[in-house]
Amino acid sequence: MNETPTQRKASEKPVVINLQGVSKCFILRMQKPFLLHDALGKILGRGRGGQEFWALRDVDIQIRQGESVAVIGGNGAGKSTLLGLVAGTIHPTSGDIHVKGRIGALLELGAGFHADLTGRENIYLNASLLGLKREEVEEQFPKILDFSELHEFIDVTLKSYSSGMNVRLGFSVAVHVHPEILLMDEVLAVGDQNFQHKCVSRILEFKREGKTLLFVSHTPAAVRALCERVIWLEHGRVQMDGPTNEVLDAYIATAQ
Amino acid sequence: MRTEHGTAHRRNVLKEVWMYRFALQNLILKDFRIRYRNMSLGILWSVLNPLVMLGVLVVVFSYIHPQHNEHCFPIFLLLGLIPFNFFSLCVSTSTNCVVENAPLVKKVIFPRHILPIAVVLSQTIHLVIQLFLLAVFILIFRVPVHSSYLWLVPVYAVELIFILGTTLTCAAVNVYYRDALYLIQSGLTVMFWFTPIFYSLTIVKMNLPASLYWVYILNPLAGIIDTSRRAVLDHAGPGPSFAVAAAVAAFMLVLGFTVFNRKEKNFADKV
Repeated sequence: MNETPTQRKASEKPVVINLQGVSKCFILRMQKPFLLHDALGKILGRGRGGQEFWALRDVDIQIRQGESVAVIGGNGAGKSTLLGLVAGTIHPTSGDIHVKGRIGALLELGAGFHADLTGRENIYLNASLLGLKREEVEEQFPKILDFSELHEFIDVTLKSYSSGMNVRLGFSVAVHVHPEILLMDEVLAVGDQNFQHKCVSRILEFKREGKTLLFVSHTPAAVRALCERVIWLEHGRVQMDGPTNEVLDAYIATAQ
Repeated sequence: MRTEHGTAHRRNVLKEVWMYRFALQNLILKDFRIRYRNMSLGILWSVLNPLVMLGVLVVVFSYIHPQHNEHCFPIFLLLGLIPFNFFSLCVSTSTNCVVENAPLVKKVIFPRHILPIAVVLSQTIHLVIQLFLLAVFILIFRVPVHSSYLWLVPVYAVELIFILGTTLTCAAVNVYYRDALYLIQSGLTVMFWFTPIFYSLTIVKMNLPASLYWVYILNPLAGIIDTSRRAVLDHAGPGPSFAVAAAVAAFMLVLGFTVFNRKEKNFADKV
């Protein structure tokens, strides 16, 4: 295989996301979360109730610094689980994960926003939970506000925000956290045309800065615009992993 | 923001919590803001509520049903009720805190320890208000001020350690067994009467056989309350019950962090 100079350069960059033989099993519970008789059963060595669901099975993925990778696949293929594992919000049932670099995870925009707090208070709370220190939040605040274009509403409680405004606020905070690795879960399909455009150009800016991008998407156009590599997950396994057009074409072909 | 993580990575939880101190501060502020927004008296309620509680006890036990077996019974009672209420409020409100913050726990990376710690610290602000009101009552009742009052500092430090350990344990266990919330609420009622609030530890020592007395003071609140009464009302230093309280509190803190650290990684799956 002939490598172009740029490809060779990329392959010399260090691996920043490394998953080896990673599996994740969820116990599906029918109604009640986790009851005493489960614990007794465990002590007595009997099997517990609940059905196993393997969201990911034996996944090997290496992503190098500066790569932009999209994760595609049907509902329940394990895309969000993969992102959660890389982010560190969930832990693998087996296998090894190593991630190097400041992670910014946009797994859900405005997770933890509170309706009784104002836009300003929510920015402070959200940004600090995403890992920013006081000086950093104070420094970023004007930029976050400008990006969101919510100047008039910033001191109003989120109760009076529309869902679009909520999402704008969430995205604005998230892209100002300055991560080295940006993880995004379906967050591009938000806001009006104008705002979406703004988000995409912001992400392209991330790419130019040499940051690593891993994102889940259902929109082929966004994937083509942002990524040179695509990982296709099906039933928790890697179905295909390669250049964007190749994988997308194969994926679209099976979907039809 | 974590700079590195993975299955083989060892964590320093205390350092992580320290790095998230601004988030901790914002969580405490959130608690106050949500509680008092849309109220005309706002933050004043934090002073008014304990003032009403302290005031009514003082009136009842000074005029309606005066007690003479303890000198200055209202103060005696407050020195028992304030630390117990602090404990009880912290434990009952923090037990559910990880579950209540499910969206955050599922989708944002941060040391989950700061959730129960924020609840405890925000209750600590209420404790300080109550202690300030207690000081006012002490002056009104002309209890002589003495250098032994300084013992109150280690007393409340031990209580804070005990509470941190207990809340971390309860919050972690509640994610797995939601019954914990109800169990703990019943437990607090039982504990109320097995803590020297309406009676003194001296009475307990007189009436219980020695072996049961030692079991009784395994409840650190016994040593904590007894020591604060000795300091304020008797101008004396702590007895052996305080050493037991400190030891149990330290044990609970270690237990709390151990349980929480071990259970934390599966929180997102269980909430």
